[in-house]
Amino acid sequence: MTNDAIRGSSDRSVLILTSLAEAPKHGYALIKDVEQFAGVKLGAGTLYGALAKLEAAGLVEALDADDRRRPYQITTAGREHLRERLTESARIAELGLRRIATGLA
Amino acid sequence: MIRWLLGLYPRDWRRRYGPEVAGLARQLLQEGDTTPLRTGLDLLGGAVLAWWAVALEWGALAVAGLVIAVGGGTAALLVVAEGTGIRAAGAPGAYLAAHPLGAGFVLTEMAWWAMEVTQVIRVRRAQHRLSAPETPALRSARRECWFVLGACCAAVTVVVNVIPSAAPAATIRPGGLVAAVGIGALLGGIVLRGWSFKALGTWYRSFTVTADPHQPVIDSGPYRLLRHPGNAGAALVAAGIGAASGNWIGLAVLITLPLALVLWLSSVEEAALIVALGERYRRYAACRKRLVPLIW
Repeated sequence: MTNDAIRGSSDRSVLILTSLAEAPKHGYALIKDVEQFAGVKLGAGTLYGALAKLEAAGLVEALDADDRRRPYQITTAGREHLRERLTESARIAELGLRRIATGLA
Repeated sequence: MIRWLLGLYPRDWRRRYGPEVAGLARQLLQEGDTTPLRTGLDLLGGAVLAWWAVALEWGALAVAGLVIAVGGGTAALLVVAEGTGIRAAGAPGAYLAAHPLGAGFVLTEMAWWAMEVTQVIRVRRAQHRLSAPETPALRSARRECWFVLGACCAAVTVVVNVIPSAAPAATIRPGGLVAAVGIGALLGGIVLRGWSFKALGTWYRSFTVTADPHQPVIDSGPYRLLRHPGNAGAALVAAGIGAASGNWIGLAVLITLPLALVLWLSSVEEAALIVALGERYRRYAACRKRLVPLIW
């Protein structure tokens, strides 16, 4: 869990879950949202590689396709997983910042 | 180019996600969000990751298959050695020394344990957690499961190793034939359990009782026919080991005791799944047998 947490917000699955925590989105909307809030440009292959893993783990689920595009939504287990990951990341970030500050002093 | 690159992905992955990935890649190119080179490299990287996931999924079965092959090969060699009278003497314990297939049995049993341990590790390493806290009923079922399973394992281990020498009158003859049937049952049980692990993935939590309201109802692989193929596989493995004892008493104990455990465990699991999944599981269970295809 700690290793996972250290990867923190750069982890693609965290970015995708964070985006889906707002509302269900299809691939293009997901890429644009992640680019907007994290400055990370995901490609189609990268995005669906991560989505496939998340879907297999039961963290996201596909909704019915509209206009040939399939939206994805975060599941309850996905929200819980995201909460755990972000809480751990925040704890480590806070600790790191405190140590940097102490080191500078 | 996109279609050709998608051809590099595993077939099941391509069927599920291919059209969506192709549509998205084309849209990103049209909107000027990416270049053909970046798209190509991205899809190539995605294909490698998709195959890596498949390799991981099959890894546990591949390991088990390898050890089974080694076990089977050793058993075959021992049979040949027995036939030509050059069998190595002094193998330790009644279990090994009782018949020529002893070492093959032990190796195959080790393969089974390797598969079980791999599955436990896989489940522990899985990212998803149970979405609901464990209910008191499930907690007590889990504890009972560990207790009963431990007692059962201890009992059958004692029986398999002690009974052949303690009750020689009950020796099964011909020994070679029953050992061959036993190793067949053992391999069949391992394959059935491994297939169940593959079908349920990390939702297959062995040696415990869990049910999650958000878990999917799987009806693929052996679950197409049976509600508890993993448990049926375990009973088959035990019966195979019972035959390996080469003793009627050993065989009877190794059939009845694990079968009683499996029947109890299946009923506890089923009750938990009905509580957690409700109508979804009832519908699935209504048209499938518990442990034996077409019979029960």
